Amino acid sequence: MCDSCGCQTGHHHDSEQDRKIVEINRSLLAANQETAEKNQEHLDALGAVGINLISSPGAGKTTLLEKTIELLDGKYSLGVIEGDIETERDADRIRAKGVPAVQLTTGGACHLDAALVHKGLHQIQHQLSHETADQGRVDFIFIENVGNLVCPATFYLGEHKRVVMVSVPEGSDKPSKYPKAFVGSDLFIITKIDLLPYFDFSIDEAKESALTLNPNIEIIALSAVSGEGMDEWIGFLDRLKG
Amino acid sequence: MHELSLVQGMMGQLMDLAARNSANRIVRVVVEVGPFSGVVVDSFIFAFDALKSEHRITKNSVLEIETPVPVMECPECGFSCEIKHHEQDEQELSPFSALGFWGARTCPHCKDVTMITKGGDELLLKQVEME
Repeated sequence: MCDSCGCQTGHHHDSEQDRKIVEINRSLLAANQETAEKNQEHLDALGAVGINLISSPGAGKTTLLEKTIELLDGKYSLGVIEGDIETERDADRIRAKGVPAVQLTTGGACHLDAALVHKGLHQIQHQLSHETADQGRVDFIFIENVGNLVCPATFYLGEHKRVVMVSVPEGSDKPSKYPKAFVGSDLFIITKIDLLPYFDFSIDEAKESALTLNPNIEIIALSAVSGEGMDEWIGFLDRLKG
Repeated sequence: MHELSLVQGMMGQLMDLAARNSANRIVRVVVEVGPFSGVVVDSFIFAFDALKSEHRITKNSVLEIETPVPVMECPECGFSCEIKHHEQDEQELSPFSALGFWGARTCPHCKDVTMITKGGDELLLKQVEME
């Protein structure tokens, strides 16, 4: 009797024979990559430069955006996509400055992915078409990632430029400790430099280690509170639209 | 923690593959994780073990992780060497290990020329065995 199925025929069920090995060689990020590329087409169709802001929680992403809105004073039309695990707080802060904002809540996930940003882009387009005169066209869309210096680095969202931020209280060894976020970024912003007198933060160390990881990265040191260095950041945005 | 969402996505791919090949069971899954991929292998395995039991098809699947070794090459003189992590192989350190694992390096022969990193960011579903 056959051991496998209990039939009386005496045949063999050769499980090896039914086995099949399939070569896949597909990136686990392929689906995200495809959606991200569509996101970039969507941004291009809106006329927007998309900027993905990555930092640990509390580095000052939302504050930088608030100050940027003030300084630009209507020079460019803006939209903001806020990523957080929970609450509308950051989007409310941006809306209070008169700029359309969409809040994406990840419900626990530690990063934004391209599919979530795809939703956010449709929502922001909807808002822009109601709030701006120019058929929803917009100069910049800022995507404020979930506060985390690790996971967001792996997920391309379709942005044109990636910006990584570290605040003075966090310490100047952040680039060495979280290399991937710096390897993949176009600009490194050191924030809260008004606090330099109170912390043991070396701008030189931060710059040097970021440049070792990524020789092409641009670096700006600024304070959204004192305004120091903000002109360089605005200049960076100007060049993207120049 | 993003390893969990990556494995979730992979589970979806595995279900599709099983359905397309009329397979009842996924026996073995081979994934390539480069050291610069941003994925922690232990977390990936943990997530796989946690999620595989949710599906009958993957309940007994075995996960194999392959780790390719990235290489650095000088665009001028062609000098190349493997980039190895301290913990990965302490006996066989590359000339650059002392400088840390990540980061651009200048060529030891051409001095000012920055070497080009090849590979290391792989994150691939390579091979699936099913029955």
